Amino acid sequence: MSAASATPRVSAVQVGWAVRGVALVVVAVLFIEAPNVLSPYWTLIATQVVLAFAIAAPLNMLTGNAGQFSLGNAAFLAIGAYTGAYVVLKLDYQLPIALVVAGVIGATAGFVVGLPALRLRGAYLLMSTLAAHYLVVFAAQRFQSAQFGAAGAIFPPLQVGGVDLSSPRSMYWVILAFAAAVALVIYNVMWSGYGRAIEAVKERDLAAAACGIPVARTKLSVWALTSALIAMAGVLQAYLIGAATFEYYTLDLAIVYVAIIIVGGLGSLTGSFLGACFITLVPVAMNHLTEKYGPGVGSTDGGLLSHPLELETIVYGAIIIGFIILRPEGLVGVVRSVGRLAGRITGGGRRG
Amino acid sequence: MGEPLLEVKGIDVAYAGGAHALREAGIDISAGERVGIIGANGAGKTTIARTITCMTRSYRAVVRSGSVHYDGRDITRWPAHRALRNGIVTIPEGRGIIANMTVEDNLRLVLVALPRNRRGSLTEAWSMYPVLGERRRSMAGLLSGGEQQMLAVARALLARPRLIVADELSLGLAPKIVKDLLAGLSLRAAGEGTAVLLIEQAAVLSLQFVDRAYVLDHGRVVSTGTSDELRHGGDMTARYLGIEDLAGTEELL
Repeated sequence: MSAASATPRVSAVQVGWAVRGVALVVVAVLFIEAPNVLSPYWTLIATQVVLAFAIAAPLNMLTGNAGQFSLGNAAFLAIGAYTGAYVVLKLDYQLPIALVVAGVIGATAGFVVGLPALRLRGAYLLMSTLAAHYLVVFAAQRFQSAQFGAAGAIFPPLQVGGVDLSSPRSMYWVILAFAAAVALVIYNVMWSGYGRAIEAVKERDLAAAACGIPVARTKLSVWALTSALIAMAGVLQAYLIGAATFEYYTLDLAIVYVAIIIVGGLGSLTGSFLGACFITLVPVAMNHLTEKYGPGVGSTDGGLLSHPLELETIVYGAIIIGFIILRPEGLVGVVRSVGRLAGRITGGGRRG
Repeated sequence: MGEPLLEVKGIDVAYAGGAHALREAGIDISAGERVGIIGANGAGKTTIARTITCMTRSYRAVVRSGSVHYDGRDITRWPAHRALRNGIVTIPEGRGIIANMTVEDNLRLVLVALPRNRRGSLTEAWSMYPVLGERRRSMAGLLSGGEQQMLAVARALLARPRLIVADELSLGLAPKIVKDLLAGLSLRAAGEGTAVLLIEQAAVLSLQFVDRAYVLDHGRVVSTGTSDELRHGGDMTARYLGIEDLAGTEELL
């Protein structure tokens, strides 16, 4: 409108897309090249971050985008892990088939766990997913002892079509490929009409119904889709750990992923990633801290630093409470604020 | 007149909480007709809107007896999205817009549910209400009450309806804005042969825009007639609506 920008201009939108495109390529190259640069230890940490993202992103879609609160994610990971174990160890198929079967069974379980969501919401829904969690863990325990014995299901080194993928680097790339596929699916869904319907059902389901959105079908399909993705991630997680044991799938594990999406930012893929980095790296940082400054192993007079696990829990709790109170939009909100600030400093007063 | 577009026969609807909202109510609407339903609070107006748009289940209400026929088909137990896909579109009480979505996304929402041949284009909405076009990227919750209602009307029209059920369109709006909205709606509906069912507590206002109306009281249809008959007939209508003389209340607007 004003004469402020008289210079010949490529539109701000075009510049924005170009910047985004370049950033995406750079990020992709960085991710793919990471294990070539990192030590095996840090490659493993990077693998855990990417896997945590692949698990948190569908949960974030379910909770952040669709408004369905769930503590059932550890249960879906267990469903995936045990399905994978059965397909690989008992039926003698390889990872791709295990992923497909885990996806189908995860979707079915998600559909069933989602049924109460047609009637319940908020804390009540959370309670019903909690019940589902204990039910699944109980079933996993029985399944484990009947099929694999007390030690759990021990996964063989990952091989697909005769190619050995069990090295830390290969595992990283396999999980990275899966995480990228998860991100792509969620991104495409959320930017489609179906994604708009999901958001509408979250915001006002009656208004959505008045717009012709089949509310029940939409809710259940989100449960099925996200649970399928989490179950598939469960197979990869079991491969990474090397085993599926029911003791692993605790409520604490479920809460970790809830923490990731709260700290990262609800309803955002970037948020899921930032949260995954943060929550995975906090224990690593704690370990380093205690190794460097804490007393020796077994010592009793080192204060909190001699109890890294307790310290970790306290720090987790403080971080989550801090984010809920101070930054409810999560890390992604912090990054956006920084971006806006940088834009203001470098670009003057750009107007949209 | 031929077969009515919509025929509600002896409908009985009760809510899960026990409220018996409709008692053997019956109405009919022909294609392209403008019909009103008027009545006091709690008369069952909104319930009849929900019944026609197949939304009763969403509100935990049950159709106990009676039927709703649309275009010759029994739609009593249809899900809401099927009704919309077949041309029954609602402008719900309280506007039913999604505050945290942009104006454009609110409009696109209705397109998701529709088959391609029933989808209108957004340019129609922008040309009908330019203010919506100017604010297409604004969150719908930031619009004024009148603009929100425009959005609700535009969204309904986007679904190329054969029957629009407008529930308490005037709620919380200045009379001038309501008149403009109704005039625009009537014009578009007349142009496309769309039937309009106007459900209003504001009886006087409603009767200015409809060809005929039903008066609802305690879930029953207690009176029916053309707008003129209801306004000047001096029958029990006014008593049911708590207004002394409908003919003399024009100035209320």
